[in-house]
Amino acid sequence: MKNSSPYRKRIVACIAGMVLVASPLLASAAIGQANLFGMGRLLGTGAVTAVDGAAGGGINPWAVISGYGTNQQIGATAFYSHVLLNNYNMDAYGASVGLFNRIELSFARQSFSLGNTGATLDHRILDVATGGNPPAYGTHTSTALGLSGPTFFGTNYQLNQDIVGLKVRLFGNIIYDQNWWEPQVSVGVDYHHSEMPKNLAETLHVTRNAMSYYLSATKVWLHGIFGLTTLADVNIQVTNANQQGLLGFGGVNGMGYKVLPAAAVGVFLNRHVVLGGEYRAMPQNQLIAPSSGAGNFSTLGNAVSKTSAWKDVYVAWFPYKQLSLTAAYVNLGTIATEKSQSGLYLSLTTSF
Amino acid sequence: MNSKLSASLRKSAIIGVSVGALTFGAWGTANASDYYQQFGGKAGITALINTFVGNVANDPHINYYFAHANIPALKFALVNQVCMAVGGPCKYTGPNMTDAHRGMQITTAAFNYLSQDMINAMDAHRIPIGAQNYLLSLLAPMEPQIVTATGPLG
Repeated sequence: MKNSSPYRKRIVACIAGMVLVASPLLASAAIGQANLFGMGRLLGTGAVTAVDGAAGGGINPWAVISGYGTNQQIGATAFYSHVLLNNYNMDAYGASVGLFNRIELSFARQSFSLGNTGATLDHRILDVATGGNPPAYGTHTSTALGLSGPTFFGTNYQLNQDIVGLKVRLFGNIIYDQNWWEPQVSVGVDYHHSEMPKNLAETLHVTRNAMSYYLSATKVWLHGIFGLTTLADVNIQVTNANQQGLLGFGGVNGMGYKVLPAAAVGVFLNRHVVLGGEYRAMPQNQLIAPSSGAGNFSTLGNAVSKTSAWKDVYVAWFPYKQLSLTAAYVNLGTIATEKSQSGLYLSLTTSF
Repeated sequence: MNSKLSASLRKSAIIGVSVGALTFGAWGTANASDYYQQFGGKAGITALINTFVGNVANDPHINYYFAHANIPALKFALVNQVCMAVGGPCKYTGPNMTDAHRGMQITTAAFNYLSQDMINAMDAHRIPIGAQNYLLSLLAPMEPQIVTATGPLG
């Protein structure tokens, strides 16, 4: 062992020498070419992650490409979000890759938990199915709706969906376009796969797989309101998604797509903290076919079909490029017969 | 002196101010000469540029671009450029941004790291955020003139 010591020293010295000699070469090799996996964009320009997995705000994708890669770099993100509503909870997590500040590929999985509200919905269905004279809970099936079991939703029901997104930046740059009006504009397409059981989908008269599309224009004024960096985003959504896919796609009247607006604003109080709000219109499709069973289902159908525009006010914190934390107050309106679904939204995005 | 650059800088300052006046005037945004004061005048800008150039020299992402730069001349040019941009009584007399960076193969990442070094310098000198943003909003549009290295998708 003793004998090998000088050799080791020599090897270490040799490696150290090679590193020292190579470092200026590596540096000069970098002229004109940024590190492929570097994070060469400015803090905050990757935005945070929307519930559908795309870079944006909390509920809307924006025109930015995820991560911090420049036109010569590849970036990636991972996110986790939790939404705590009055009657429901939602978890969302996923990841994305941003290629050369041009293409964004994203994946998100959403789990929408009904909790005790599932039992309430069971009661409501039974109530309608039996003409307002329901038997004791748990002793009757809800076969009238084509659903099975003594209780259908119970107290631990989840509606899950996976979303695969592709976003392409068409033109514009949020930072460098300061002297004129042009925003950064991207187009996006999402493939949704809902894991809703087939019998529930048939009852609601929805499909479980669909595409949705959007065009997003995001403008940043570095020296905006009060001299603070100010962001505005306007989206055009083309979609037939009920509650952005959690309740399937389309409805009794077919799979027709609606063209709907969404918007967001934000003000950077400093380089790390942005305050803002968002709005996202939702299509309203008539759910539950009238022929679904006995009883007065039109009232229940109307109640389930009711959607509201989603809104939030948020604060996002970017301590450094690798991390952002977002807290928001969201108001999603009526979801699956339950009104006033507002609450707290918390989200974490890591970039690398 | 390069009248083309000074004209273009003046033009962008005028556009910036008039857009600011049109868009945000109602919210009481300060004007350019207020910002010159907020930068601490010529002395403040000189101190800022010293810190900035120091930051750049210590920034391994970009310092190799300046390996052969004439640092005193660079500082002199930057002081005048920033002073003029924020409404001070200075004249930048160097080459325009396209000529000054021709053939240097500057990447978007390098441009951004340099911007961050400027932000860090402005933070160190406690320049108010509105004044910082005013300068950045004049520097950011220079990216297409300065950055010539392209990526695989443009």
